[in-house]
Amino acid sequence: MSLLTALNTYRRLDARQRALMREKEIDASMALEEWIPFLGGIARFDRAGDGLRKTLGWLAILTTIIALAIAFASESVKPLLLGIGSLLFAAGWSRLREIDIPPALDRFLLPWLVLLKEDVAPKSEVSLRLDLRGAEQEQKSLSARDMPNGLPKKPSSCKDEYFRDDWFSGTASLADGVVLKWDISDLVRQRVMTRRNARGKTKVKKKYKIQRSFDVQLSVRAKDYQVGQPKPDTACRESVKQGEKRSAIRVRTRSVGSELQAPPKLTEFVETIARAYSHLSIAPKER
Amino acid sequence: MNSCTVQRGIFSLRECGNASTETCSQCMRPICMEHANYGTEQILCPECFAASPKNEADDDSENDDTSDWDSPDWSGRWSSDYRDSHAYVPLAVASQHDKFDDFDRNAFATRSEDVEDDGKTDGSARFSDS
Repeated sequence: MSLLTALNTYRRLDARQRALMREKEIDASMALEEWIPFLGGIARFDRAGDGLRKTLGWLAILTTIIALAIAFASESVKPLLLGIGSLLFAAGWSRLREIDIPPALDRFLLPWLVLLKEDVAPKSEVSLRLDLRGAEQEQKSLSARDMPNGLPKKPSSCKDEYFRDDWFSGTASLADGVVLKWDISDLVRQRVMTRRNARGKTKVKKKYKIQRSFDVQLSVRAKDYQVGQPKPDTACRESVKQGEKRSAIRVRTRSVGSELQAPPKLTEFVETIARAYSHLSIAPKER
Repeated sequence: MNSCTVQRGIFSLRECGNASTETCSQCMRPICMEHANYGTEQILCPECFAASPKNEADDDSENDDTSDWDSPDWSGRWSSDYRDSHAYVPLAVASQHDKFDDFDRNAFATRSEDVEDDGKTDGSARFSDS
């Protein structure tokens, strides 16, 4: 059933959507009426593909075990056929893993675009830059160092590597004349600890700490909005620049997590934008 | 033709303004196809739909639930939940007051000038208590 669903959703994807699934990167401007079905198709396939990938993985393991068991018990063609089946299942699993998309697309990015549709200016384009390759890429590495042995339980070796992943940014013109810019980036610390037990067995453990930052900027027309000065707040960094024609408000918030692929919380992101909006009041109309 | 009177927007509210194609079965206001909820037996505007008993029962769900973003009424439900849980009041950009034109404003200006003049000379001439 999941195979049919996955195949049907995959057939509906066009060449650009398939290219995005392979490359996992896009930098483009489109109307939200185009962005949502474009990314939505990929998210639907990914949902179906996740289910299918699990099934294929289990089938590959199961057929391998059965094939080995039969091969030991008797000399027949069955284990060979099962072995071929197992290889096919494994190949399917591997292919689906290659084009797997992080859950942030389905759980954060698309819901955000659906919400943004309510506020965006009619017939305007939204620019998005999206990088779903993940943080652990060579070109995203900031620094790596061996940690001194002062950690609890004293591992044999401990290596920290830092990555910076600017994975989602965008610009949108809103219906009230405001230009909204956002940038979401993750600072990831990957800690690899190697420990050798008394029997000489080596265990490797990977741990992550992710500092996620939301950087939101509003550019508003002075004739539409009056801008208030921010109050000092430790929870987020706020700045206001007032100009004759336009003013800019910038709000940056941070959150810390330990799951590498955990999608950001939409409420936290919307709250950051709402904070920026809280500095605005409607300017009195000139007569 | 009437225009849709549903207020849309997360950060700043404005009237939808699309041409109305339906009328809310409960509050009888004109609504466009985008804001009409056909899920129930009646056609409802987002506010009446959110207040309907079926949806009030669903309100216990987690606020940050984004799994059904592709359902047509999700953004309305989410933003309404967000406003309630965070006591957030969006800016009302295109309020009714912005729709007064110069003709309307002049009418008020003339009246206030009359009142000032009347107050100086004989205020009781037009605004008498008895």
